[in-house]
Amino acid sequence: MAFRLSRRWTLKGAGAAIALPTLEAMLNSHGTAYAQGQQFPKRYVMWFFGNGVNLPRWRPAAQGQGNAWQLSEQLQPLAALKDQLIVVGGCNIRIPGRRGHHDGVAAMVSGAEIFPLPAGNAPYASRLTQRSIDQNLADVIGTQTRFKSMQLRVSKRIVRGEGPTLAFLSHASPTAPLEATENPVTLFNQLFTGVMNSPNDPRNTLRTSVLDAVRDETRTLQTKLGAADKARLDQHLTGISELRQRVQQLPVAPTGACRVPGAATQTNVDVNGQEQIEAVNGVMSDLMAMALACDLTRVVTYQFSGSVGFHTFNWLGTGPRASEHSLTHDQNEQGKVSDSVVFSMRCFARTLTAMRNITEGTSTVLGNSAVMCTSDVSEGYTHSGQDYPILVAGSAGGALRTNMHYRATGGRNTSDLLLALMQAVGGPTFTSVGAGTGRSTTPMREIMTA
Amino acid sequence: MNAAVKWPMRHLLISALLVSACEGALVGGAITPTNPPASLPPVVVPGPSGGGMAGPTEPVFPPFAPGVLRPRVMLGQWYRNTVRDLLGTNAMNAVTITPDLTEGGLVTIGASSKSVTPTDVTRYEDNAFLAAQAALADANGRSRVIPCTPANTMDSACMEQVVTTLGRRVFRRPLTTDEVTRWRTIGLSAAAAYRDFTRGVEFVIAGLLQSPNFIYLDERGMADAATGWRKLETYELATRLSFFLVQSTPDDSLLDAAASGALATPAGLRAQAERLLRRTEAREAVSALFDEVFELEGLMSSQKSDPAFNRDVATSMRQEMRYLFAHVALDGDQDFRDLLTTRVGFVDRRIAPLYGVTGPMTGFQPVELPATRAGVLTRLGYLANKAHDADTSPTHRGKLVRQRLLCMAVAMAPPDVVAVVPPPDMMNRRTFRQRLEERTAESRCQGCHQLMDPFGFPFEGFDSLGRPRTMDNGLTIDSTGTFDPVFNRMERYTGAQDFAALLHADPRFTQCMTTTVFRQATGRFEAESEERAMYDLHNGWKQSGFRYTDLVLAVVTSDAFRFGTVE
Repeated sequence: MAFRLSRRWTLKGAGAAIALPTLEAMLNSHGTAYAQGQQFPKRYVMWFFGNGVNLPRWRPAAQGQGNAWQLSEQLQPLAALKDQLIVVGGCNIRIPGRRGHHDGVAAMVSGAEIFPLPAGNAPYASRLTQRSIDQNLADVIGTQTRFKSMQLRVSKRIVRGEGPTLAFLSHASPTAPLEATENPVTLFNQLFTGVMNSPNDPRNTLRTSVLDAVRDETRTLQTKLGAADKARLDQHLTGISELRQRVQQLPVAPTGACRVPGAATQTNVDVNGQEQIEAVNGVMSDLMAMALACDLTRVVTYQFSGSVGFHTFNWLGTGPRASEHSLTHDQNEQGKVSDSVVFSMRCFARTLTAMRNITEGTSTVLGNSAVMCTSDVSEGYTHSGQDYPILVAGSAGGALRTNMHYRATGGRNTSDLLLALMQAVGGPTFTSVGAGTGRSTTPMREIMTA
Repeated sequence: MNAAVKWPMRHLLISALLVSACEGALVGGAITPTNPPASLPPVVVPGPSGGGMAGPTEPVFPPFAPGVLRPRVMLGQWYRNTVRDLLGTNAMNAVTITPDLTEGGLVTIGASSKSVTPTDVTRYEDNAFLAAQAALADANGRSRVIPCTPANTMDSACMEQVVTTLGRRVFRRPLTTDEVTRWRTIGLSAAAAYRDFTRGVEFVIAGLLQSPNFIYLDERGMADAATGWRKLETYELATRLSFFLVQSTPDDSLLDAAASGALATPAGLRAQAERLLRRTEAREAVSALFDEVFELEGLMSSQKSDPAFNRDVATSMRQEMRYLFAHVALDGDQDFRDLLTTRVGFVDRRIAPLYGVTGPMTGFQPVELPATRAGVLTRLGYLANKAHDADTSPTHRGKLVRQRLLCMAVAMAPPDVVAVVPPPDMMNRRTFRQRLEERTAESRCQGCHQLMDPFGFPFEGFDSLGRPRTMDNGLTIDSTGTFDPVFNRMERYTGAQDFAALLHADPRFTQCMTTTVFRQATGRFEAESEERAMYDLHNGWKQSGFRYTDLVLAVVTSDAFRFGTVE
């Protein structure tokens, strides 16, 4: 089987390997690309928080670019990043409304409606009907990196009883949701711990043989199955092939902006029954930013808090009973809901700052990325899918405008935004997104530079 | 079909109906009188006599055919237990598992549609090597998996013995010649590379544990000319039986029964099932099933401002429920419906005070609870889990009874509804129940709340932690109600004991338990063509006096368990 390795990783012979460093001398005179013309990689990140916003406190007062618009109350934590932001307003979820929360997630990760699962004893459960767009992007921009895509999670209190839609953001297929990594130490080890001990260690050759044997047995099993189960085993085979590729690769070497960070110690374990959300988010953000800088992956979904979710932000004075979700349903608690949104934005700012602090030529990791930040409803109190709250950060290497508030009219399809981001990051190969009433072939040109 | 009594578990209908708003809500396979969809057959609800299915109208069923067989991905708990049984406790402690996917309220069903993702593959590999290394770390462990003494580093015959012996346990069947060659070759390559036979075995173990033949429970059976269906092979039956009853891989005597063909007959299956039910792991399996049915995982993220509640207390509450399930299901010859009425409780020092009884200094101890308690629905684990911080929740308590104990789904609130009971108003003093009833008085709320709240009102005598109470917000509590008005069950109850007796006599409870156990055993919903089988299982169970193990034995010897179809 042939491997296509990124510029940073290559194999020489069976075991030994060399890394190609990104030295300043290799950059072009503008610092926007490698001298040989290869651009810095573009990345896509989806940063998700549960339970929506309070629209009157979320919407900026005026639209426009630069000084023409100002951040709203709930967006204040992003003040230092305003020049990197687009606030997109006025768009609606256009897929058929079936279930609060489920619809919003499905629309924003796939642009297509949900499939209600057989009720059994969990009548709200659903899965997607299309794979998620991060996976479509990963097929195009993630083929040369060590991880085709990564799934990260901060709050562990996600709803698992209502099917894959609420629990996951990345879906390799509607029946293959991708589990997220929620322990930063595990993530650190995946990213930065060397897998090749020494050229003389036979371990990785043997691991490869084992994986080949496992692959052969998986194929044998697959031939016996019906179409739906064959597709399930395709996912398994993809996983085997990705792992096999990683087994043969080197530990990360510092090149360009890539630095192996100090070992993580944060394990995302509760302290006195309380999640350590802000601390975990900080470590996770730094690791993700470095994973992007080291070109270990170009596609990330980042589940800060779950759709619905059982997460509580007690340190905001919300009281012990108050999961964010239950607060959203209480008319009298909307002030605390707003505090929760502001807190989530503070954590989002932390993620963006980590990305912006890593320089790439004249830009930054953030500048070369498109980060979409959104939620599962527009407002938790109403479960509405109207005037959806969406932020975009970074310009995807100049493909997107920034420092802008754009308000669409006529309840524009949120999928238009998804398509704009897919084109900005993945190029014109993406001509449509979503399905049914959620489908779009008209990218949101208003936020694109070309 | 007009007068037909339908088995009330036609899950296929549910998704179609759930999309409608809550008004005149659908309940799993049965339709409320307010909203009978024209396209569906009418449903006759058993009357208050409790006569159930065998009423004056004979049931009409589609012809029987078994449901579709799909490979299941081994559940996390099964994986851990299997590693323990194959390689020992140290190996089990070396592995980490990811949460399972739930479908239809059961992870066993989720396992039938789950895909193994890249993250899973990585974890399987990590686990496989960690388990193998832990298993081989000491002489005891090595003798467990290496049945021979290698003559030299490259002893091919001994390596083959490792592969065939361990392989049979790992794959739950004898290995094919190709498989033996494949894994022996890898073992010998590793032994050669490290000049160490044991390192070779490490790679054999780690490889087998990553194999799809281990990861998937692939129960495809073989074509059966007599029935036209597929008949599960004896090794597949052993696998099905073992994971269902003891949450782990088949032991040697079960595999021997598969090899001898003893499992090919219902009598042989029954004998093995009876044996497995006597293992202590069977108690854990029953506990785990009903832990899911009662949604007890939710207790672990419950938060209450009352200092009498914390995570340790929640853990003890959950443990009590688990002991109770195993006790009613497996100790003596109890009627499983007594789960709803028994006063036997299990307390430790943390929860004894909440019941007002004396607890042991250490561990749990069975006790007779005060007379206010009647069955599982008066236990802290249910009452506290299905309650708000300081208030009770008749809706959440009732919804669990409706959905989990009667297997009837309730649609979710319409998207634009604010499902919050207003806080107390000092000028207009009301109990929580009164505020709930005022808030949900509109007809569009009643469609669903009528299905849930009457099943929660009986427990108003227990506060949000499950302690007895007589007052709420300074007013006397009201725990009276009408049993199930939507289904014309107009009996009045006062409090939990009355209610428990009504539920005890309601055939919908035992029907629901029948399908729940069947789903757990097979990892799938019953097909429409299996309604007959569900009906028969329930009737048989009734005749046996509702002994839990009789239901289990009937399920595992049924055609619906032993046969299947494929796509």
